[in-house]
This record gives sequence, C-alpha cells and structure tokens, in this order.
Amino acid sequence: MIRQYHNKPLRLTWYRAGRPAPGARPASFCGFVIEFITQALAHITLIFFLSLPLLCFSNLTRAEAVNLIDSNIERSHQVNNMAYGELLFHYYQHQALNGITHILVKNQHGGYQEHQDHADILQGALYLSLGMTEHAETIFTATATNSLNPETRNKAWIALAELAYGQKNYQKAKIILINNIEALGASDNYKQQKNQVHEYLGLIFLREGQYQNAIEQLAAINHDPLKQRYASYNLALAFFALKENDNALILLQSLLKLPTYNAEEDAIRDKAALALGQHYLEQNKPYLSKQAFSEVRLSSAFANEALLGLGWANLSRAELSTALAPWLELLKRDHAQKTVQEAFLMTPRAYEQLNAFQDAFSSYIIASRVYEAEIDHIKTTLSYINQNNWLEQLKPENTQAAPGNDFLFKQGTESVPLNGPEAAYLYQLFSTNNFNKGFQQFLELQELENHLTKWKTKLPVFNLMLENQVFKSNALIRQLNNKINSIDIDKFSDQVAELSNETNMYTEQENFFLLANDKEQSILNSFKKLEAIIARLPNTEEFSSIRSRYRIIRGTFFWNLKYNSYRASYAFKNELQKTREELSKLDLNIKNLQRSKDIATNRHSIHKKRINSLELKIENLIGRIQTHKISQQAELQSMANTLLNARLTHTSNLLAQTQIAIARLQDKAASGERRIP
Amino acid sequence: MSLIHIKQRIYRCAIVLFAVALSTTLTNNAVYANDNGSSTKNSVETLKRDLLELNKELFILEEELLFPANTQVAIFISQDAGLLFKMDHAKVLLNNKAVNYHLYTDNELNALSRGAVHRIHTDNLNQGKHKLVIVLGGHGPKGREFKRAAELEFEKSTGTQYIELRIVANTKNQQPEFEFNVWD
Repeated sequence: MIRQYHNKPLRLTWYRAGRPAPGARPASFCGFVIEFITQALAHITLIFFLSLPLLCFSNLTRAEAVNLIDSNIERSHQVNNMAYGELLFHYYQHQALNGITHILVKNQHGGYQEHQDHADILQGALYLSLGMTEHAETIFTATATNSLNPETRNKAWIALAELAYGQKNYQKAKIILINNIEALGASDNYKQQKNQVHEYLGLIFLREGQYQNAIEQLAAINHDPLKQRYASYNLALAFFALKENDNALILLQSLLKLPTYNAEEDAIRDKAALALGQHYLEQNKPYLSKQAFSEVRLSSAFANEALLGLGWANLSRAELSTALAPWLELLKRDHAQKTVQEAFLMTPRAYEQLNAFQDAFSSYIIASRVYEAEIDHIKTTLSYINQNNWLEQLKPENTQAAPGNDFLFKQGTESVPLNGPEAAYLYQLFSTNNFNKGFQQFLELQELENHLTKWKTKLPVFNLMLENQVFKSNALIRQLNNKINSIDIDKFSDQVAELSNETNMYTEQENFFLLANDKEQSILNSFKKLEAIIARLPNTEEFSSIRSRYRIIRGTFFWNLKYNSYRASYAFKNELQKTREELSKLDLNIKNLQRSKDIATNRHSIHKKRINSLELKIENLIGRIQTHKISQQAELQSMANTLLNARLTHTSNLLAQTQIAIARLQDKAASGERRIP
Repeated sequence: MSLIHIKQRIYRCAIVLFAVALSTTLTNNAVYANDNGSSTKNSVETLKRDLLELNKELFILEEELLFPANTQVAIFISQDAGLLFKMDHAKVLLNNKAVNYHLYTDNELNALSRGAVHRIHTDNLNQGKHKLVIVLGGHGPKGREFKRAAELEFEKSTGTQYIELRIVANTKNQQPEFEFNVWD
C-alpha cells in the first residue's frame, strides 16, 4: 500500500517565513499585531514545514513495498508444492532471513517447479525487506523479462518501478510504468495493478510539477476506497497548484464528510482538515479556518498544529481572548514539541495585546524557564546520545523475545522505545525516514550478529555429531571388514570351476550313471545286487521269465536314467551359472561396500573441513558486522547531533525572544508607560 | 536609544551569528554523513549477501548432519478449512511416541489460511512400515472445542519422504476433514 501525501506545492504557495501572509490584516490593525502575526505565521509555517514530512510518506518504506507484493501474491494462486508452501509460511510471517535461506537452498536443489515464478517474486520482495535493493532489482528484472505469465511480468515491473521510486529515480519509474505494463482484461489482480500504476504515475507527475497529468492519473484510481482517499488528498494538492482552489476544496471537504473506520482513515481526515484550515487562513477566512481546524481530533498526530492554527484563526478574527484557549491547551502538552514551545511565546504576546501585562510578564517568565529547562534537557540528551552504547540502549528489549517473529522485517518507530531522557527530542528524529532506515539497519546488523552467534554455538554440536557419526561408521566398517575378510571368493570360484569341468567331462563322455542322483544311485546299487542274485539262478525255463522281467525293468530304468541325465545335466549347468553370477554379485557388493566405506570416510573429512571453514567465515562476518555497527552508530549519532543542535538553536532563539520581550516590558515599566510589578 | 535597546540589538546579532555559524557546521556534517551513508549502504548489502550465503551453507550442513536424505521424513500441516476449524495446537506421535507439540500463533494461523504450509516435524526413520498420529486441537464450527486425531500407516522408502496433513472443509456436513498426502 502506498501512503503518500505530496505537500511540496503547498509549502511553496502557502505561508512563507519572513513576510506577511497573503491574508494578513492590513496595517490598520496596529503595527505590533501585524508584526506579531507575521512573525507567528513565520513560526507556524516553519512548524508545518517541519512537521508535515512526519506523515509524508515520500519514500516508499520497505514494509510498504513488501506489503504491496504480498497482496499480489496472495490473490494469485493455489499452492501445489510443499517447499513453496513452506516458503510462504516464512514469507507471511515476515521471516525474511529464513525465507531467503529457504529459497537459496531450494534453488540449489531443483527449485520450486511450477511455483518458480512466484518464488522469484517473493525472493525479490524478501531481499527488499532486508534492504538489499540491488539484489531485489536483479531478481525483479529477470522475472519481468523471462516470466511466461503476463500477470507475473506486470508484478515484477511494478516492483521495479517501486524500487526506482524509493530510490528517487522518478524518471526511471515513470518509463517502466508507461512502457511495460500489459493490459490484462478485467481481472481483480489487473484492476489492482492498474491502480498501483495510476497512483505511482500520479505521484511522479506531482513531483515533476505536471499537475494536469497527475490529476488524470489520480482520478483514474477506483475500486479501492482507501487508495481513493489518498488520491483525493493528492488531487486536492494538484488542484491547489493549478490555482483551481474550488476543486481542491471540494475534494478536501468530501474527505471530511466520509465516515472513518480505522486509524489510517482518521489520519487522512485530520490531514485534510489541517490543509483546509491552512488554506482558509491563507485566504483570510478565519471563521472557515477555525471550523476546519476544529475538525482535527485532539488525540491526532496533527492536533498540536491544529491548536496553534486555531489560535491564529481566532486571532485573525480579532478574538484575542479566544485565541488563548487553544494555546493554553497546548501549554499542557509535551514541552519538547515545537508547537508547544511556540505557544509558550504566543500566549504572553496575546496577553500583552489584551493589556494583561501582569499575565504577559509572568507568562514570559514561565516561557523563559521552560526554554531554559528544555535547553538543559537538550544538552543532557546531546551528551547521552554521544555515549558509545547509545544505540544499544535504544534497542527494544523485546526484539529477541517473540519466537517466530523475525525482527529484521519490523519497520517504523513502533520498534523504538519512546521513553528515557532522549526520547522526547528524538521522537521526531525517529520518525524521519533517514534515521529510521539507519536505525533499522543497525538493528538488522545487531540481529544478524545474534544470528551468527547462535550458529557459532551450534558448530561445536555439529563437530560432536560428526565425531559420533565417525565413531559409529568406524564400528560398522570394522564389522564389514571382518565379514569381507571371512568370505573367500577365490575359493568359491575354484570350486565352481572344478564342478563345471566335471559336468562338462560327464556330458562329453555321456556317462549318464555319473549324473544319477542319490535315489537313482541306490536303485543302481540294488540292480547290481539283483544281477548277482539272478546270475546265480539256474539257467532253466523256470527262471527265464524272471530274467526277462529283470531285463525289462533294468532297460526301462536305464532309459529313464539316460533321459533324466540330460535334464539333470542342463539343470546342473544352470545352477552352476547362477552360482557364478551370485559370486560375481558378491564380489561387486564387496567392492561397493569398500567404496562406500571410502566415501563415508571422505564425507566425514569433507564435513570436518566445511565446519572448520564455516567457523572461520562466521568469525570473519561477525568482525565485519561489528565494524559496520560502529560506523552506523557514528552516522546516527551525527544525525541526532544535527537535529538536536538545530533544536538547541531554535529553543535558544525562542529564549532570546522571550528575554527581549521581558526586557521590553521592564523597559516600558521603567519608563512609566506601564506598571509591571 | 536606551542602553537596553542597544543591548537587545547586540544580543539579537549575536544569536543570528551563532545560528548561522551553527547551521554551516551542521550542514557540513550532514553532507559528510550522506556521502558516508551511500558507501555504507553498499557495503552493508555485500555483508548481508555474504551472510545469506553463509546461512545457506550452514543450513545445508545442519540438514545433512541431522537428517540425511535416505532417512529423512518431514511432516507438514496445511489448512483450507475456512471458518470451520481454528487450529490451536497440534501434537505429533511417530510409532506411538510423542515427538513434537506445536502451539499455533495468530501469525502462523494467518499464514496457513493464506496457503502456507507448516513443517511441524522432521525426523529420521529406517525403511519399513511406520505409524503416524497427529492430534489436532482447536475450535470447530460455532466456536465449539474441537479435538481429533488423524492416523496414517506408511512405508518409508529409501529417499526423503514428505507427509502432508491437509485440513479441509466439508461443506456438506459443515465439519473439518483431515486428509494425508504422501510424497517420496
């Protein structure tokens, strides 16, 4: 989701510091009041100028970019692959590091098959969430060029445009969006993509000052109520820039009339009310301005600006006493806020105009005390932030808690503790894009260091596991060696060869008696015994029938024996062949086992080397991370120093003005013009 | 002109001069910080790339050591039951032995409802027959307490084996149903 207010044209066309506002009252009102209004409008301009960027999402944050891709991914497809489903599990829980690691591992092992296109888009989004824009760009470019799916190509082009926009390369973003997005009919996904394109082009045209083009693009956004609210606000800015104030006012007023259901919609409404109030104040319509400022919620992030503006609207209507009410309300708020500090100066000036000099004097005294206290506070904060472990102390305590929640993905100031001595002044710093990115970077480095430290503690466990595996493997290898040594393959081979020779010999000699089995041998022996008995029988007619029967039986048996011997010989040869093959297999298995043994030993040695090498890499990376953390801290300290010193100057200026006012009142009292106690 | 006025003017000039001097110094600092920031960004990106590569190597090594491919069994849970079942926890029993228990967070349930798949358990098993039981607890239709066990007997082959328990909605009887899918 892109949330952007483009307020630059307003800044340029509205109040400018150092000269009366276009709608300021003429000189008849009295010189001091004009000076007062001029000076105060300069303040108010300065305040708005400084405070608007807090809600101006001029740069797309990583989380927003990822959310955008996230919504595209969600609508698009069914999951048919476990690995891809697992990747989504990391992705949807914002576990960037786990997600990218999953992709890198999986890509090394064959990828995500049918989901490869989507996985590539996710990889780009995850790189983006880790702040690795160059890697993200490479991935998106490859997908945009190579994907066969036009919807995926569109997603990749939009993601590339987002990247270019985030890097403030608006020209590139514009060219990508104009030249590459393909029309895809009336699908919901395409409608969403079209809205994204219109929104980006609208913002780019606004930045380039092509307001008419911006209006065309922003007006084309539809089917998305929230996006349309943002578009309405930005459209109003474009109309203001084209001096078509009526159109702009209609849009801002329509935003005020829309019901709101969440904080985001409330913020847009407040912002619209604030813009309206400012516009009416500029147009010298204090009554309308007052009404608009009153629409801003007291709990809103813009409430301070609205209260200050409300006071001014009242003042412009010459209602000095009513101008005090919102400013007095402001005085109860955080003294570190610029608007509150402004109110401390405005209030006694209003008293002065009401001729309540005693109240004015005591209010100036209070203001000067407040400013002095704030100056001390800023100085304390300055020394606090220049401590070496400042960022360590800023780190949220719960970053390591939340299991399953990768801190690397968190964005925004919700991760920053807004308490402690420095918090009040650094609140605005935390809200700026540069500091927030830098602090996020520091937290990421911190988290990466923790991640590596965890791996470091795992490495001894890996070593231990490896030693166990080596121990078990060695025991198996010993058993294997014993078995292998107990098998004499050569002896078996010799025996088989001997049997084979014998069989061949019998076959060649056709000595079928030698191939008789045990039963047949027994019968043969019986025949020999019978033959001996029959030979002893007298050669008479009486025994000739017995001899004849014996010969028939013996002949039949021999015929069977001879017939069976061929089959037996064939079967025996087959058995011998099988035995030879089994022996060959056994030999091959023994060789394979020996090879596996070598591979296992080799694998253990490779694992050992990998563990040692990874240990060195971890040490090296931790060292590099620590160096980066130090430089990151120095950079953030420099930013904080810049901001605080600017605040110090600003508060000192206010103090000086207060002291001058006190001196002026005292001077008047001394010269007898007024009576000051 | 009174002495007070002269003092005031001097004081104003001093403040203006101080502000100009300070802003010049700060501007210089800011420029330096930005230049430095660009090179830091590039080197941090290189650092992250190296870390991701290292993380990948460590992850692969860990898996090779803990769960070799020939014995690895991975058990997944996916959900497409809409509003019929809001899972609260899952318990995995392999061969009648409790091996894992997982309490689901809202983020995890949200991910599951969007098509993600949760690898609830990874283990080493020998080839042969095994029994898997997954006990699921949560809230069924109309927010009623719901607890059910899904059981599967499977044959572990030589390669890595993936088993998915899918929780799907039976729109006819308005009850969640459980289906196992096994991949080699």
